[in-house]
Amino acid sequence: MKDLQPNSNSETITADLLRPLSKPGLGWYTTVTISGLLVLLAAVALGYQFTKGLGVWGINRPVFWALDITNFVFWIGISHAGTLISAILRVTGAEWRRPVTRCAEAITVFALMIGALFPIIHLGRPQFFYWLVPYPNERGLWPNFRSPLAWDFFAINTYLLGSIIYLYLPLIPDLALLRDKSSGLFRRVYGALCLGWRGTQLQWDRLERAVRAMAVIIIPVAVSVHTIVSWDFAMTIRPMWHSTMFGPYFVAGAIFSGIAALILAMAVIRRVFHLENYLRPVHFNNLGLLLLTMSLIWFYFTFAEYLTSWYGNEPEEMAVFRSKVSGVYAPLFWGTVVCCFAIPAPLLAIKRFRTIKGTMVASVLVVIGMWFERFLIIVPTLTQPKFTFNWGSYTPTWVELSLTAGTFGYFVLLYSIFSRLFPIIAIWEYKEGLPLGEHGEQTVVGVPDAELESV
Amino acid sequence: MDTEVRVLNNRHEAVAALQQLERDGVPKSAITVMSSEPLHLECEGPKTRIPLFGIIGGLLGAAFAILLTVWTSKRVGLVTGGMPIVSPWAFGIIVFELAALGAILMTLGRMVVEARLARRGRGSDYGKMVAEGKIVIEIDPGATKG
Amino acid sequence: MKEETKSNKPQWGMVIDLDRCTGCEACVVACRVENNIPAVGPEEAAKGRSINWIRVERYVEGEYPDVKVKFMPVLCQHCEEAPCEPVCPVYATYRTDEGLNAQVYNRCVGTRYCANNCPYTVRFFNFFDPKWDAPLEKALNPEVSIRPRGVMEKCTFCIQRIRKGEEKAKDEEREVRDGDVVPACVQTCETKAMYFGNLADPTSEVSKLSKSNRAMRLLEDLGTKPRVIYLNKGD
Repeated sequence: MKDLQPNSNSETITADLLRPLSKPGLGWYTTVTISGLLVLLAAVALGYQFTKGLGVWGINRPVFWALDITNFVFWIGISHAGTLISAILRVTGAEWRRPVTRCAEAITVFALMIGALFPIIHLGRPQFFYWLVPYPNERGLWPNFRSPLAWDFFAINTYLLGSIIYLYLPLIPDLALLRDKSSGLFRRVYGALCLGWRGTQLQWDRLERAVRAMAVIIIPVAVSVHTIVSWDFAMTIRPMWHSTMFGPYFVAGAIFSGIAALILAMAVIRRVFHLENYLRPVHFNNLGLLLLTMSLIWFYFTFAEYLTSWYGNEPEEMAVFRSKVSGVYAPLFWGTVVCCFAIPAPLLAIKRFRTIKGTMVASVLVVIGMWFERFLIIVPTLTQPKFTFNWGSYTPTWVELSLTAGTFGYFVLLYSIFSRLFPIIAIWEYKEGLPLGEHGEQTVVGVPDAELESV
Repeated sequence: MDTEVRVLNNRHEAVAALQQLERDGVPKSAITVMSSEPLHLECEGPKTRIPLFGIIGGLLGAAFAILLTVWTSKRVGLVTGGMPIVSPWAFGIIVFELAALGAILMTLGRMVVEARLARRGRGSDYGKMVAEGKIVIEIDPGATKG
Repeated sequence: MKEETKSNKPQWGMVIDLDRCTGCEACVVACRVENNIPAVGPEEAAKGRSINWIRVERYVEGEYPDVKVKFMPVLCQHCEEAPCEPVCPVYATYRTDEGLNAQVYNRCVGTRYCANNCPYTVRFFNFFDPKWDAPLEKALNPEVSIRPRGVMEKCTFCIQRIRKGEEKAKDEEREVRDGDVVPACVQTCETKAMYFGNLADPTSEVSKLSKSNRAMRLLEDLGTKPRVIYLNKGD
């Protein structure tokens, strides 16, 4: 594979990675404008919804949840790109992770913030969302810890806080670097954020230990979050929701869509900020292989899930099954299979196509496919309650569609602002990998020993 | 006597300088090495207790979660769906999440304490040099005497 | 392990004789008037936003011309082990010691999770602010609270009438008996297809009818233990 020659000069690296902060370029402004407009559209839709009531959505009886929960599950899924993947790569000591980790961790934080918005704005009375918080109150009530939504509340908040800390810890040395390189207000803000980092060897040692400890803690938390999201459905007694394998099925789907989002984010960053020397084909190749693995796992789970329903042949399950496989939702269902498996799997399996462009195409399809997969899990089951008398249908309104578009805009906007304020590639982590191996391409285990030999 | 500062260009020079200091009989506790990337040198200081604090945080979080769920559920005392008021299966999930939260917060807190971060008046005087990729060795004469 | 609400209070239940139901929907109208249920209008109703705490389901059996239409009034089944209750994170729905599935409007934040887990689809959401075309707003029942936009609602077994009946029995220093509490739907039923009373009292009419060999419960295999019992000929 033809690969670009990475830079090994320390000063050039610092300059390259800090350039987006001072000269973001035209691409950045265009991105921010477009995404900002989408956020504005969603804000208008949200204001309209808050004044009129949830009736402006397409939801009805029996379809009480639709795009709101689709977006919730989808974005929580995307959030699994970052922290989980970065943590697994850190724990296993994969050297190629170095330019990838921060892109990934930032995705987690922003995707989670967006995902966690939906359980609030989808409430009939969003002004009372804080009633899920356990605090002594004048109503003498506490949350019902038997409810999966209470589990959600704890899981998402733990994951969000953990992910922010996990993003923040490796950012501290870079914040100190920014403090020393900036002036005025920025110097004061970066100075406050870096907590007086001096770069002593004791600080480095403790920071790396803490990051390793966090990586170990955050992996089970990430798994638990999407498992609990799946349990919102699996705990009910609805056909094709009440499934024991929903936990792992959702976690696999989450990692799958998360990797796709990460590849897309990296491809955009690479282009917009001219970081071709840092995010190199090898990174896309490796992530493409991970995406291929997840595509196969997704197909395996989906097949297992649908086979079980079909073979069991229970009338209520079959009603939902048929509507997806051969009924009104069939185009979406088979579209999902094409987007998540039929095209990406062969595309990523063939080495010649596992390029930056190839992985991007696969990732776009996977992101679209996984959004519709979430939709297909939620809506077909709800349209068909046990009594056929109550069967319904669902069509989204402009409000829901605007909110959906707005989530993508909001994500891009937050991500763009982040990459403008903080280096999107961890400078110190990247440099740390330099004297070893062939600039991050080879896996080096036991850093101090390898270094001693070369002295 | 002022603090002595040596500025070095790379890790190689830094290792040589440190070996020289050791030969000169400067105690390790008097030397502070600052760099813009981890050098993986032998690091002076007490043994780390970050993992221990993480585990303690996890236990505290779990204990808090058990108390919170059991106490509040009994206090509210409403039956839902015929489930027991104290439902260990369901509460176990809250216990897991709060254990993780406790571990995360204690790990962070302990790291900040051990790395001597977030202290008043500890702004780096050599920041510019470190930011330019230099390695700064600071020798504290006070510690040399003591 | 099961948590049961043990109490000496009456355990309210309903019996509906399907063989007597003509599908006239008088119960639906009576319920609407008694419980201040807003009319959402034809367009919203077509979207599935109508609220009817009791509905009459129609099922057509057989092939033309040999067809049989069956009517089944369906309301909240007040399940003893209701799937809607535990999923609510804010205790807006729970089991009372009188065996009712209570819905507390003030606590409800509107997650709609309860409605998704109700196998009988008898829970309703207020998609908009409730409104009544003039002069219907002058006919509102002062004994029933109006539910704001964004909360769930459902059949209460006419809790206001239950309270009144219990007070009356208490004033007369006796136990509640048949006839003390008559929900609006039962009161209106032309063909006397509906009965309401205390299932804990073995002498009450509902108790006796519930032991009939025609008795059945909806979706019995789910184990929700409904407090609404249907009578159907044993064919």
